[in-house]
Amino acid sequence: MIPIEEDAYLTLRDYFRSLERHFSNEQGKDEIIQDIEYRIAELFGIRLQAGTTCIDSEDVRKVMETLGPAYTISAATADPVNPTLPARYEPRITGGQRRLYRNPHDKMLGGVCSGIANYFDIDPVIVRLIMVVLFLGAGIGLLAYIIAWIVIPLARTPEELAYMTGGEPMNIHTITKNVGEELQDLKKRGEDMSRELRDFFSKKK
Amino acid sequence: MNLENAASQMRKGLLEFCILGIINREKEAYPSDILEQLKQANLLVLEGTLYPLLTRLKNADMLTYRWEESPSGPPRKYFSLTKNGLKFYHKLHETWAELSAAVNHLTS
Repeated sequence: MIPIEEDAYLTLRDYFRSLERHFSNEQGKDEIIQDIEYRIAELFGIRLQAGTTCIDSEDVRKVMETLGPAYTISAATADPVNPTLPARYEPRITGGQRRLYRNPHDKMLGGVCSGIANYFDIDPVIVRLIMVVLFLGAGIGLLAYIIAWIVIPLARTPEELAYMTGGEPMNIHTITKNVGEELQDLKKRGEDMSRELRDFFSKKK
Repeated sequence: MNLENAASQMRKGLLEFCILGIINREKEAYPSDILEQLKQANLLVLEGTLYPLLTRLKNADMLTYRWEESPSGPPRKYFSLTKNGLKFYHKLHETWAELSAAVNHLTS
């Protein structure tokens, strides 16, 4: 038995889930994951012998750093005869959850509408039309847009872009999780947004 | 042709060769020992990459293992070479000797 803090446990669980995802096509999946589990248990054991009473997030973070992210592990060891090895700079996501990002490559203002369109697999024009109707009609459109702009992160890295278009369709859990995470650096994005808004309106003049 | 890809395939092939080499030298080795030696030689940075390779070599009948209880922590898998694995390792060794001589000659 290894004593572990709640949030450290959750991080570890997510790590194993991503391992499961990345090795889902691998014949020896269960064995590989069990080996990694044992290695982690061993590393935690060393930690506990050194006098720690409970494994915390910092310990988990260190262990994950030692072992490496699931994506890197599976890419670094992929079979050479398998031509679908994902190149590092163009990750293709086949499993997992699609994520909601603002789309930097197709945007009118903040990329909110085309991001939402990607997420639900519909034409961005439709989302934009709905948004315009909300702008003009209901009066809540502008506010809704601004909130979405703050809350939805911009897809910056190739991996984020891959998650924006790949993976499986969304569910409500992902949305709430994203909202929670993004509220944390709301301030910074608020500043970005006011800058972009300023640029946009000064461009219009 | 993508450099990243080619380099990672090359590293992976050599890594398999070296894993077999370590196990051959030690007669029997458990993953954390193998990790220690690979890390000392700067051949491996992320520990996680070892486990898929071991499992694949085992499934290809190059390696076999036995469980051993550990006084502290989880039970350990002790890997050793199978007959096939030993033959394969010697073949790889020959190939490597030829290759490295050729490459050194051509690139020096």
